[in-house]
Amino acid sequence: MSGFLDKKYFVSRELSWLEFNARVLDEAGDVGNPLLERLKFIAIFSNNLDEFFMIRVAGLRQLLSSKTLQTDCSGLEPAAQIKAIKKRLKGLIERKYRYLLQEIMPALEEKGIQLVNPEQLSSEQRVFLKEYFLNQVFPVLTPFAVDPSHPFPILNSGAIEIAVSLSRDDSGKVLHAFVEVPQLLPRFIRLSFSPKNKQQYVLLEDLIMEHIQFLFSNCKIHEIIPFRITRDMDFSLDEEGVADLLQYMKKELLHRKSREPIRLELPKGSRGKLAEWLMEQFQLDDDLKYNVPMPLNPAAFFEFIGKVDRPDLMNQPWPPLPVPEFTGGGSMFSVIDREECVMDAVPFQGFDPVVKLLNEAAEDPDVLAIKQTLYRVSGDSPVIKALQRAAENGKQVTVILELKARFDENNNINWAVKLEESGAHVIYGIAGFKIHCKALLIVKRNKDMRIKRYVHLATGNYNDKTAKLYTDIGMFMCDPEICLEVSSLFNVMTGYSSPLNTWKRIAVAPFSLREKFIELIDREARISTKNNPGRIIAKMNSLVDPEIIAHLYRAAMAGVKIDLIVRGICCLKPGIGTSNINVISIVDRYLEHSRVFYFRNCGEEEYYLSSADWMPRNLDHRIEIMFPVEKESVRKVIRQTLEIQLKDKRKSRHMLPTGAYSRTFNKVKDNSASQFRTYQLFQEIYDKSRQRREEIKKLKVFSRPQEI
Amino acid sequence: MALIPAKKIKMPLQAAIIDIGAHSARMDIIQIEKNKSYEILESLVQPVNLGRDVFTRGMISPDSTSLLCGIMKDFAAKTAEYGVGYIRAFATSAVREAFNREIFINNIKIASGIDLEILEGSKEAALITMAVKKALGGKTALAKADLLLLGIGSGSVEVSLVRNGELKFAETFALGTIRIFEEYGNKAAEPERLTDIIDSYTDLIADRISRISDIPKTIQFVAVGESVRIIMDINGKAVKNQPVRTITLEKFEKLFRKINLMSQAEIAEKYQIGDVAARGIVPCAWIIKRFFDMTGAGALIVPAVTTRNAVLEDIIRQLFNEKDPFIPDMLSVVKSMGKKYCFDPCHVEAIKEIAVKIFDKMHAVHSLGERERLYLEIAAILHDIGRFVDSRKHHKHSCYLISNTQIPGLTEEERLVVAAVARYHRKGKPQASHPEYMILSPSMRVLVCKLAAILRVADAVANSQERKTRNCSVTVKDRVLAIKSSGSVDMGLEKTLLTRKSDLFEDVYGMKIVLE
Repeated sequence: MSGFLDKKYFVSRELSWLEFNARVLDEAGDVGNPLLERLKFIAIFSNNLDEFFMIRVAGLRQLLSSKTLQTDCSGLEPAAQIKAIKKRLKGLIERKYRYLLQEIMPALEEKGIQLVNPEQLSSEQRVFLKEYFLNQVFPVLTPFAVDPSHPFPILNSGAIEIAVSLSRDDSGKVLHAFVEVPQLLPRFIRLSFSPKNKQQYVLLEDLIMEHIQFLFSNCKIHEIIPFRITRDMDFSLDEEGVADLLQYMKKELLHRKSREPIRLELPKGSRGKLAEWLMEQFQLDDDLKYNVPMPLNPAAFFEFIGKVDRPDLMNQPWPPLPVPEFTGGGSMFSVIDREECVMDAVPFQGFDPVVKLLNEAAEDPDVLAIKQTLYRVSGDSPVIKALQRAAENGKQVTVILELKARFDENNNINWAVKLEESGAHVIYGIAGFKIHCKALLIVKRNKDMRIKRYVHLATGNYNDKTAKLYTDIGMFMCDPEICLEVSSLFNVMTGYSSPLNTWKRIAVAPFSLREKFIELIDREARISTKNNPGRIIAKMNSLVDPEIIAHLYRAAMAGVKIDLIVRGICCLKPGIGTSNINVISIVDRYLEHSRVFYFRNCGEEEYYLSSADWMPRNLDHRIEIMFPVEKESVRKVIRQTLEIQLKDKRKSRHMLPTGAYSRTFNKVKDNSASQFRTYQLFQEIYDKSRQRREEIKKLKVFSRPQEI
Repeated sequence: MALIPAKKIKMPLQAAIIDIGAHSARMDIIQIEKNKSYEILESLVQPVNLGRDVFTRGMISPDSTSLLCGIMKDFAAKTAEYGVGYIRAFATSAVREAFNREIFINNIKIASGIDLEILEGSKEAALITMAVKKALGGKTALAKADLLLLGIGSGSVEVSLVRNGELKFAETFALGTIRIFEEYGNKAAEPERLTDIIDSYTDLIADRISRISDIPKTIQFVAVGESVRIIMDINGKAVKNQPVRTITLEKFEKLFRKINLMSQAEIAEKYQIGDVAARGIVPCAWIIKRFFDMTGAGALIVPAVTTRNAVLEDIIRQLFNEKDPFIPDMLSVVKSMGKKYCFDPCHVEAIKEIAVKIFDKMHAVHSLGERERLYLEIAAILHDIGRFVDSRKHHKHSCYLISNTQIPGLTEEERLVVAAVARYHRKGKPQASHPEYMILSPSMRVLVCKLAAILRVADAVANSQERKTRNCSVTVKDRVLAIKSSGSVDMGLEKTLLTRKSDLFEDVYGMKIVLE
């Protein structure tokens, strides 16, 4: 096996991530996408990159400063990785600003949307802006002077800062100061007095720079430069993003001054004394300095897109389709009883069945208990409201909450307290293991006094907001064995029981999931023959785990045809010694998020859904679940969606043996885009079921003997 | 927990069964159907370390108590999720041996509201024997054969011997697979030391059995317990719901040689089992090996029986008001015990017969049940065994022997009741100065008086020649108990005896006795 762990089979994780972000950027360059969607992808690209610096690059810097020479799976040392990142980013950032400044913004201008410099304004507009500045902005600005009596301030990560060099009128001595562009204020200010049918916007930092003299009265301003600092996150060893990087580092090395700057972004062409002074102050390596075109921080374009409010420049919405099984009336429970297994594929179909089930459970006097894992849930979530009501109605409600979901912690705590107040039992995770599985269990005692349990297991979070943006599959089931096994998983998560390791139908990380995946891959390799080759289709967000990759390679060498649909990072380098592995990545309007696994098993096909990616963090450090799909009609739909994805020539990119990906944004005329096709598929399924229902309605029933 | 009469219980019923062992606390939530079948809705397990506490220091530590209180609280919360209407919690070895067990039980009650009962070793052995017989009986004719049955636990080993389907011997020994390490320290892990310890116990067990019965060449060797199950899993995974598995001596020895060379960590790693479970594997294999030697059996039979499902079946029997099927086994063991002390089987049979007749006729007066009737039967069988020590004061010797002998199926309290009933079959009536009487709870003292009163009468009536009283009739009318012998025999002697022994009866029941 160790032979397949050779670096030649691997792509560097960081570089693979950059390739993913490059595919996001491709969407910004795709002229087939509406203008504001392209702009949105610019914002996503920038936001992704910020997180990448805060976590991954920061982690690499830690390794570098501790002089750890640990190489990644592809054989690169930390310094080499940082260099390679910088090199790859150069082209990407250029591309980003080319799309933004030369394609998208000019095209938007043609559509009547313009981002302008203050100097381009009419005098009426200047008066408007000056008033806006003095009333809304000036009161919240706080300039910091930098001199021997004022030490260099700690500047906020991610905020745009304005560096100013100035001197008092009476002396020639040059002083320095910073003004932070407040993040609480809107970044894009819509101008009044714009020409008819035209929306004009000014950037907040431009407004401040235009009026900087108000902050430094009696001073002479020499130079002004806007810039942006990114700092590392406050991470610890168990932080999800860096655990793999830092696992070999000595603990004491982690006790460092936190939140060091790891990136300085300066406007392209910044020269002169102020720019030199800034560089001197931060003392960053060249690898961490970026000269970028303006505007800084394009992630803020999310705000812009919202403000512009031009649906004609956005994707035509695909309204979520009803899940056919649940449209025929009757309670959710009765439908699940009848169907045994019902699939819900968001966002093509609606998220509302989950909410409806919870609402019914909250009110149903026969329901005894509800248990649910929650991770990244919005505060005003209908899920929380239903759980709260259930607890108030005397149900035993247990919520297993994962607080370590990054950037969301404050949000989580508020509603958790509310839930507790309503009588729910809230559990705040398990030490050392992030709870990432998505499961809902309802215990009901029917009128005949028999206990019946229902589960909903999903690949995505119970979040009504992301359910509109992420593609996920959820499954409503009442199979007693699966319910029993999910129940015992809840017992482990609530601390009521140690793992009994009796999971047979489902597999659970960190206890049995890795072994199960390897067993399934190895079985495919074992039974594969020339005439009857094995086949694996695996769809996930990221493929990083070296052990799994080695087993995949071994299976491929044994003749198994492997299709990997990996949206993000893929450390497996295809095409090394075998052409049996095909890797594609789909980036489109929705974020591909479902994890689907297919094993041909000599004709006895097996389908699984999971919350886990093939990453060490998912398989070893998180509570994850994988469950089988056994109902034939559901398997058929899943099979169709996988086929649609594998046939996508429009939005899917092939990974090349170099680790790079094919580009598809020129194929505007191709209509095989899988997300569109998938939506059509669910539309057809819904239409068929509706037709059938109408036909049944039309059946003429003879209520008394008729003559025929 | 008090038993709910079955008629008030609606089936299906959700019930919880909790088992606190030396190294784990477990709970199953089950759904019992009208047809007595059941389905497990939940299984929970938590590791505990009561074994280390009790086997080394004799008591449960405050840390363990607080841990167990937490676990039981969680378990209680869990039962609410299923609207459980019936909870039964019992503790086996470890708690039953702890000298602070009453305080522990009280703490559990306060923390969780759950009544924890002690499952006596003898009761555990009885339940397992029954469950094993049931498991074997379904499939084969084994249930009627000669069986040597081992229940190998982490804190104790239960040994039962069944001859021709009748239980002859059942005892609990302080030889647990993990207990060995806790009592003897890590030295027990040294192979020579381990075999020494195990041999000393198996020799003792062999000696104890030999006093009751020989071990026939054709005996079937049966073992149950978690470690046994793991050993069988190592030999080959069980087919789903397979009720009985077997392993031949030859295969076992091969497996034994393999396991015996492995360290605990290697076993845990290789067979994917927990550390504690892995620790018990080698001692368990040694115990099995020694019993293979002792029995000369060619194979080991392992039914899928655990203490928990044995108790569960008992609970179901109780819920459905079924007669205790273990009574014949219990009486069989009691008779073997009588035989050991050279009792007179015909004599005790006659006394038992008449005592039971009186008991049954007096039901309206004493309002006692089946279980109390059983105490009377056992006391009747064993009342004279004290003569084995000495005829003088033999009632006291009987009392001592009964109260100090494990009788499978009887709890300690029940055994003390039976001993006291036997104690008062002659001579003085119960008095506050008698420790064997005063040790009992007030309600049990009343019971002793009621039963001893009948036994004294039966002993007097059947004293001389049992044929005189055979087929005698008993009637109760107008506060008079009339015993009429079947033939025209002279009952003069019995009448004299009766005047001496009817005192307690008259005191307790306020009735006269007439012997015709």
